[in-house]
Amino acid sequence: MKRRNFLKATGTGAAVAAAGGLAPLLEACAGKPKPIGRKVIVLAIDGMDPRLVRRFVAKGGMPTFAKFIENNTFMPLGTSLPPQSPVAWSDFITGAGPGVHGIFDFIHRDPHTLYPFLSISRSLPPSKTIKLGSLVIPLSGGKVENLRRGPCLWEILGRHDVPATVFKCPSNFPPVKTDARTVSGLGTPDLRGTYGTFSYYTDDPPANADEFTGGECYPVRLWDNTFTADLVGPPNTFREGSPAAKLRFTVHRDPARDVAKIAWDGDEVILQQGEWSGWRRVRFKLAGPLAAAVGMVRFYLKEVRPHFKLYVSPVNLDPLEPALPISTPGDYAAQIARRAGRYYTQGFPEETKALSHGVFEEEEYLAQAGIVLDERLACLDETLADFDDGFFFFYISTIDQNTHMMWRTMDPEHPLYQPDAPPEVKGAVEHFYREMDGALTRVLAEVDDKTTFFIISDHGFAPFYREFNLNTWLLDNGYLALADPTRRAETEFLDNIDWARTVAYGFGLNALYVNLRGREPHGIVEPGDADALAGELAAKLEAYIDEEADERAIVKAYKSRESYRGPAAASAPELILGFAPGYRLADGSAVAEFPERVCKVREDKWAADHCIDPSHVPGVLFSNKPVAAEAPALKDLAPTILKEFGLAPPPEMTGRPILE
Amino acid sequence: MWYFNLALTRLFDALAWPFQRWPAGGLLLISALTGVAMLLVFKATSNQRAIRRTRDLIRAHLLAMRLFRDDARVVVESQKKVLRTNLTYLRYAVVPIVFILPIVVLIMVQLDLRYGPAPAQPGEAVVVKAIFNGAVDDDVTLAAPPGIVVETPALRIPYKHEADWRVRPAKAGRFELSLKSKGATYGKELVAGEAGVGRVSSRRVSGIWSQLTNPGERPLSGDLVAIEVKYPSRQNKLFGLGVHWVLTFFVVSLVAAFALKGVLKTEV
Repeated sequence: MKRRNFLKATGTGAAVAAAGGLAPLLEACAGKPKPIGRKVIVLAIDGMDPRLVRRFVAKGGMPTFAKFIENNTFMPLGTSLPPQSPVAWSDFITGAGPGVHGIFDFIHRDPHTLYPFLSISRSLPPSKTIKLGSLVIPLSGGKVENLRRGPCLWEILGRHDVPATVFKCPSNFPPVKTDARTVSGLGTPDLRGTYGTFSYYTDDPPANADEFTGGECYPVRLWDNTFTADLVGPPNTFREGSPAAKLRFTVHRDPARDVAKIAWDGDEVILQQGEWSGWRRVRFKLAGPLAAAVGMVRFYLKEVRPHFKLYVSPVNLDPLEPALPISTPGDYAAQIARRAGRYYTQGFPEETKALSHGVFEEEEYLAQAGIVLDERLACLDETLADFDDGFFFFYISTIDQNTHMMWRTMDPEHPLYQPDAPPEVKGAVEHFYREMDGALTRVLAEVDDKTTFFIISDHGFAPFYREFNLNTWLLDNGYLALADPTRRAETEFLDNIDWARTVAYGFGLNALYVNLRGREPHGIVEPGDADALAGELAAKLEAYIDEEADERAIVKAYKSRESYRGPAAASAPELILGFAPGYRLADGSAVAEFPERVCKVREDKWAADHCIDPSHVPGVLFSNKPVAAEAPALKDLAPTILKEFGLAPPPEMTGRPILE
Repeated sequence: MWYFNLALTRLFDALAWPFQRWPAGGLLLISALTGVAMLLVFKATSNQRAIRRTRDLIRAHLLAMRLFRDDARVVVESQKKVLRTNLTYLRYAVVPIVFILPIVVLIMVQLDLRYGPAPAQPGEAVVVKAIFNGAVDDDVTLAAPPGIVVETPALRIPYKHEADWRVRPAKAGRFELSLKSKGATYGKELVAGEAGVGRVSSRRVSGIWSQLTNPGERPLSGDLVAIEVKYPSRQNKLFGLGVHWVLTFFVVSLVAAFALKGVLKTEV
């Protein structure tokens, strides 16, 4: 039985014992594609900003980029509407806009239940099970579903026998079933099914421990310099109610020295204060010895004394024995790991949440981001070494995540700017841009006269000074009503809305939905009135002035009816908000919370963003070929690449080839 | 005990020597030979005539159950007799098993030395653990030769009488770690490099019975109970598939024994 079939048969929670024995056979079956004598290489650097490239090139820190720019094309690349990574990379993959691929935001809401879900993929549990006491035995297959629709670039290439290698392209989880060698990127969950949940064990829990998102704090008490705790794993679908599977581990601290040992299931790791472990395999038992879920973690011993502080990374899927499908062929992720070492498999691995919540200091965060980059560059070396011709795509998340977190350290106008921060912190963004120079050097070694080469990014960046609370604005202006105003502070996920008096609501990072009759479960706006209402809201939002800063918060509110074309356009939000640089939607507003004020200063360290008006955050386009298009956009890349291989784009691709 | 272990280890070294390029071959050969040895010991130490008679009796009762299936009294009576005769058969098997078991244990200990732990990979850290008879010396140290880095100070766990270190080999080879405690020095071998090459001894121990199951190194004396290197598990490949050596051993030895019981005229 193949691994994928086994997983289908047992569901995600039981994605267990499949790994291992069949690997060599599967690897042998993968084979190498036949050469075609033509290469297109795309180095995808998420979040690379054209203005920052010029700035850092001018400072002399990016000599390879500087030389490349001298002799080749460098220009802004139009981003998606809205400029969010899942949307933008879906534009790239499909060669079309959200009206075709149906990804409008990081978060969508189920129009029937109004419950949120992550837009890229969803897990479905087994539809048929039987219960034996507390044991639940699946009788039918659970599955993980990629929600992106429309054409897929490398699927088309594969149909025409063009070999393709696609490493970590976002919006490709689970990976599309093709002959291409792919590893899934943004959208790939950790073993718990989240986008990444770290664990923090300490005898000195911070005051904000209950407010952690993307992580959990576990208070511990040391007796005789020892404590035992649980690492939380995936939901155990073999048990009634799917409680979380747990792995017990014990920590011993030396009585005097700053060194500690973590022991579990016969494995042990010793760390000194301030040290990171390598990847360690962890196994969560699901149904006694019959089923287990395997993952991997890294430990970071933040402090030994006076207080004990241990960070454990999100439980990543182990590329050597993935519990979910993360590559095609199924063993490709493991092939890379065997050569380059294990690597983060979760979509965005940089530990931004730990920095936001104060679990990491800046230097600790940068060390972790450095580990991520080192792993990624090792994978770049290995995938390039194995690439002969055809299509090659390699994705790096470093610039995006580190610009989000570290922009404030280089921007004196930012409210969180620290003039006395150490140079390595203030220069962090520039440092990571310089690192990209090294990546470019590696890739350029593979570029010859038969190669068309692109460096692209999905968007640029802008500072994030002030937050805008869309739902508060709708409430203040009478477009939305609360069922119980006394519960305003506790409201989330649309659970306290008086739908009979609500005509519009915000959900997601740029989206505004009309409470449409026939679509929403309690819709009151007639479909014929929706467009006029959207127009009215757009005009008022564009006119809104943040009085405290005396600035417009929203440059343009885009009506989806005018912006999107395609079969998925009907499920789009009515308005996409194009925020002014310096503004973005507040985190809470994205999940329908109602703070008191419409606008306030951004206090989180995630203090630069791109979910604003697309005209202000273009990406980058570098190419070794002249570009004919005056304003190329992400969705033009797929038709361009197809044309380079002599293939015509399918009719769903609305982008146009850009090369001369 | 050390000389007994040494002799046994040399014998297995000789058996495994032709299979240095194909370690799984050594496992298959030793497993098959074990099957033959089990068969011969079984034949020599069991009452073969009584076993044959008991098996014939079981067959006769089973036949009676088939022939008189309409007679409930005969069927029930035959079932009782099958059960009773089975117990008799087990009684006859006890003596040879008593002789076979220690041999199998000794063989498995030797096989574990070759197919259990994998050598530490250069660049990959391993934990070295020392267990003492009494309190851990505050000044206990672990020294390593060039090519091995001891990366941490001793981590002491007083209530377990234990001290641990993290060490990292930088190159392949066989190295001698040196532990110093209360004026005494103890050595421990550390193997680094490719899997499939020779013995890898995880534990060096004191005490006769512990030595029996840890025959790879000279016994310890003095204050130290054991010193252990936590090697990774070896990934044994058999015709391209990863199979635990214990499974291979039992399957091959039993198959060999059953296949050859006719040739060796052994009633099992």
